[in-house]
Amino acid sequence: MIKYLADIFTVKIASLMSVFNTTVWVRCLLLLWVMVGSILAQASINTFEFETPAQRQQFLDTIAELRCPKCQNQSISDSDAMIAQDIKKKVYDMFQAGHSQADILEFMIERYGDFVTYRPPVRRNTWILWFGPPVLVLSILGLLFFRVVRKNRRTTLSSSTNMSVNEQDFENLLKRYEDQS
Amino acid sequence: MKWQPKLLMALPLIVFLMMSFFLFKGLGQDPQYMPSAKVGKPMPTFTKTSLHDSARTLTNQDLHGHPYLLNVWATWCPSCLVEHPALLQLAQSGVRLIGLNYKDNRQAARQYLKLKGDPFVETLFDPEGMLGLDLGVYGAPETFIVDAQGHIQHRFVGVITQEVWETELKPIYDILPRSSPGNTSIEPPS
Repeated sequence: MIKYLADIFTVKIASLMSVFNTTVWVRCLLLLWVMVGSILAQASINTFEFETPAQRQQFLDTIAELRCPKCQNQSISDSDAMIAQDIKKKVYDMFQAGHSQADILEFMIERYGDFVTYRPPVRRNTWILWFGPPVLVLSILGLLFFRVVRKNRRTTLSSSTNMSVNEQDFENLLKRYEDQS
Repeated sequence: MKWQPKLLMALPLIVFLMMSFFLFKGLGQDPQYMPSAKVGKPMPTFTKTSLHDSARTLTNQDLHGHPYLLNVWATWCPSCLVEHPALLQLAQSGVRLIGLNYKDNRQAARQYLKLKGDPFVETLFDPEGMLGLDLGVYGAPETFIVDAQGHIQHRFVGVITQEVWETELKPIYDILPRSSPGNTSIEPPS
């Protein structure tokens, strides 16, 4: 409706401009009007209305937390699949009915499984998902630490026992350096 | 500075082999496959009208008593049209089929069944798709095997063919007890 009115006005202004001499600022005004019109037209696509911006943000956060079961690499907020629209509507209805975000996520998991959230609950079968990466990083760090410690100990050991060899090496190097220069 | 060569040099090979293993395993998997959260759970509580009679309400009680296949379908779904002959054949062989007309238009759906034949002993009309949502449906066709007590035993996503029926669904359907003591208003076709 708003877009329709905007179109009519745009046409009206355009016809007015053909009558009067078009100056630059009138053109600018026209451009501005068209831009405002397109923004209004976009706003009318969004059918969900909220009392407060916080509620709106909560809704947007929740649908971004949910994964679309049909189009598996998209979140519900990104997707326009039919099921994504239905889930959005259900999430909206549940918020309007006073449910919390946790309630809604639980409701969806009950129906679509852990798959439907990007943050699956910590449970026995998701342990590897949650604890796998930190355990891996820690064990690699531990292994590195162990190696470094061992190597340090070995080099100090070897430097104390094989001092003569090291001195020889050093002298050889010195000699080579002197030859070159 | 001398590295311990053995383990370190083998590391790229180990990583490569591990990646190959997981990628190879991934090849055989259906990326669309999703385990159903509803298998083993009771059929969600519903009150829906019959597709054929908007004055007639159907609830869980109307379906209990005999095992059945709940087939989610719609006229907007081309795969449902593909699977329709197989459903007719199943109905003929005595399988109890319940339809769930999903997010559809009542007139169009009735016309469709009139034209193509109606394999369902009863069809639930779910224009909003909310019973579908309760079942975890994300498209059509989908088919659930429900036992006589109203517990969901299996879920199948996609087109049912004779082969799918024989290999995947029939073995599950056949071992379900034919009837439970509870009464039922919709008898299986005989």
